[in-house]
Amino acid sequence: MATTVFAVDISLSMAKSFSDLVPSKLEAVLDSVLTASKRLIENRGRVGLVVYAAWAVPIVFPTTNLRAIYNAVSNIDRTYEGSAPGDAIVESVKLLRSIKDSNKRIVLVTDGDYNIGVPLGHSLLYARSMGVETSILLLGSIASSALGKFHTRYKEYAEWVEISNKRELLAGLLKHVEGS
Amino acid sequence: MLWVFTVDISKSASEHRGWIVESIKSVSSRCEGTLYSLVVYSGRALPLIEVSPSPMKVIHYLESVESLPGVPEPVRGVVEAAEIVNHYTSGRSAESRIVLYWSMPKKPRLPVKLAPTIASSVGSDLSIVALQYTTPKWARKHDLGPQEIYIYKRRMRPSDLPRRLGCT
Repeated sequence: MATTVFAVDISLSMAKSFSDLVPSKLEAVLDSVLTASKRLIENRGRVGLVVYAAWAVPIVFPTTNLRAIYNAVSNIDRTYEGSAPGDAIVESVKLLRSIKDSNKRIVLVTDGDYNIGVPLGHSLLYARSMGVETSILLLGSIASSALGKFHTRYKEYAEWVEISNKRELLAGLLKHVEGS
Repeated sequence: MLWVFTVDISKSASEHRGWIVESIKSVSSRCEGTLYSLVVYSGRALPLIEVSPSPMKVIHYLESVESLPGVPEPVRGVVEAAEIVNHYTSGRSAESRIVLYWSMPKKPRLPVKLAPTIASSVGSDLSIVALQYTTPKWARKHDLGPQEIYIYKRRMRPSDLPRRLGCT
């Protein structure tokens, strides 16, 4: 059984639209996460969910209960200051540490802000030491984002994917579901 | 026996990194142990290796990790270490020991005297390896908690640490 933790950026900038991600990046991401979760669970996988801004909080522990994920997602109705993707990865790894599956993955979805918290490199090192694969789906250009500055340095620690529209976002999320 | 090495990686601890690595090598070769963990901390803390049978993995990660900003908060390090101990030993009879390295550059915000309480709450012994050569001026004994848990680096070679930790 595969377990995937989606770590979703809910910082203020996610309230804006981007390309066809409307009415906001956040709403489009949550829609896509639900679709991917449904597919993953149908494929006998488990899903966990972490949200982050200046802090990171696990809101769904790894589960096969799609209703729990729907309920959690429907409670995310606003965005918050700050952006700490390193903390999100640490919290996601902690969610996965009790899971015995060989296939454990974090998919972090962000528009690339990064201004506070645990250094990204440290968190990716932790994920790697725990046997957790990490993918970073970045809405927009890697080169022009704050997070993208770390791409060259840590490109071997995570899979980095640029997302320019909703179709690519869903494809990016489903890629791991179908590969599991 | 689970050893949780909890290492200050603030800038003020950089000069001690080589000494710390050597001391971990000594402890892992001369003290009884089957599992090893690595927590790093400065103003905040995070685990890098939760458990591994390989002390060399701990050493490799410690050598490669970059310094963290901020004033080191040893209590935050102990909290992360205690989480690991709790997660991997609860319900089992495994013994554990937390060895915390601390550069003591400034008085931390969280009271260090809480650290042994946190460690003992998960059934773990705590030793603090103080990387200062003398007790810093800001430190008063009552701020630091019981002095028995402190091992000062002064005139101590890394290879002396196992003996100071009571390993035969």
